[in-house]
Amino acid sequence: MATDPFMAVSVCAAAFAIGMGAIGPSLGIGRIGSAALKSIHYQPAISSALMKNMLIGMAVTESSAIFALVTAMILLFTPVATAGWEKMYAIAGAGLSIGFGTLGSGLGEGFIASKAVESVGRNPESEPVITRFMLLTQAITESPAVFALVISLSLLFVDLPKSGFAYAVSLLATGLCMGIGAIGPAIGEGYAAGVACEAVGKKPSSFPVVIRTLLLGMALAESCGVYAMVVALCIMYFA
Amino acid sequence: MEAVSTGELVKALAVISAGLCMGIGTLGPGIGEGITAAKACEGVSREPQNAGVITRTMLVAMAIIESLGIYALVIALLLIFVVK
Repeated sequence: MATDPFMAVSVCAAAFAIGMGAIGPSLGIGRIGSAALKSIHYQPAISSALMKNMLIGMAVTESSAIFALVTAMILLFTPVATAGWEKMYAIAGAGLSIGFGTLGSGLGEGFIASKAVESVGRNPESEPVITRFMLLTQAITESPAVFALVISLSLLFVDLPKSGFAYAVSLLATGLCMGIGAIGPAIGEGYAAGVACEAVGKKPSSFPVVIRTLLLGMALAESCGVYAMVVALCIMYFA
Repeated sequence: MEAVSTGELVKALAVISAGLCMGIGTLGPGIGEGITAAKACEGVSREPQNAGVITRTMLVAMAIIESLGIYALVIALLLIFVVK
């Protein structure tokens, strides 16, 4: 068994990345499944359309967990080239970043898809509009998890120019900042899009007005996630 | 590991608190702005003729909520750049 300390930290970081990283998406997917089952109970005749929507929504929500899995695999199987002991803190930061970062996206996207499935159950004739709406808003809600993934990968693969205890801790702080900072905005965007999806399902003619208001609101909620990414990059490069 | 000087320790703690500050500081504004946008979309869908008033009210609320996120951002940047 290898005895180098980088492997020790990588193993722990990989475990945290996929262990924590699977929580949000699984909760979201569970919510989608329960909404689909409830809708099928009320409307067994359109169960195939409901299941189609459910599977599409689940697949998109799963993608955040795939980010966490890929990061865990990279942590386990990529050997660290010769690097200083600060790299251990960078590895830990990478695990923290993606571990926490998928929580919000998973929950948010799950909420959107669950509302979409319920809307299709209630208004089967507006199913194309609802599916398109669901996919668009799920893609936007995914972005905080993408930020977390970008920070994780840059912590793992970018050369570390400085050295010292303060710099090492700053790499850890980068991961924490982006990881925890991706939770709130994604949950907020998911909640907004889910409720809007329900409204569009009830009244498909209001799609243009609702999507305009919703995108405005989601952009503002996203701005907090961008602040977290900016601070994370500032800590990594300027502290 | 060799002993860490006090200056390095202060810098290290400042940086980790900056990270925690911004990270935890986006929880509230993110969720709050999401709930605001949700209710605004519901209102706009129910009464599209009032979309202007509803959107304006939503933006005022968003600005106030955003200010809390900006407080967290300011403190985080102070911790990174000003603490020596």
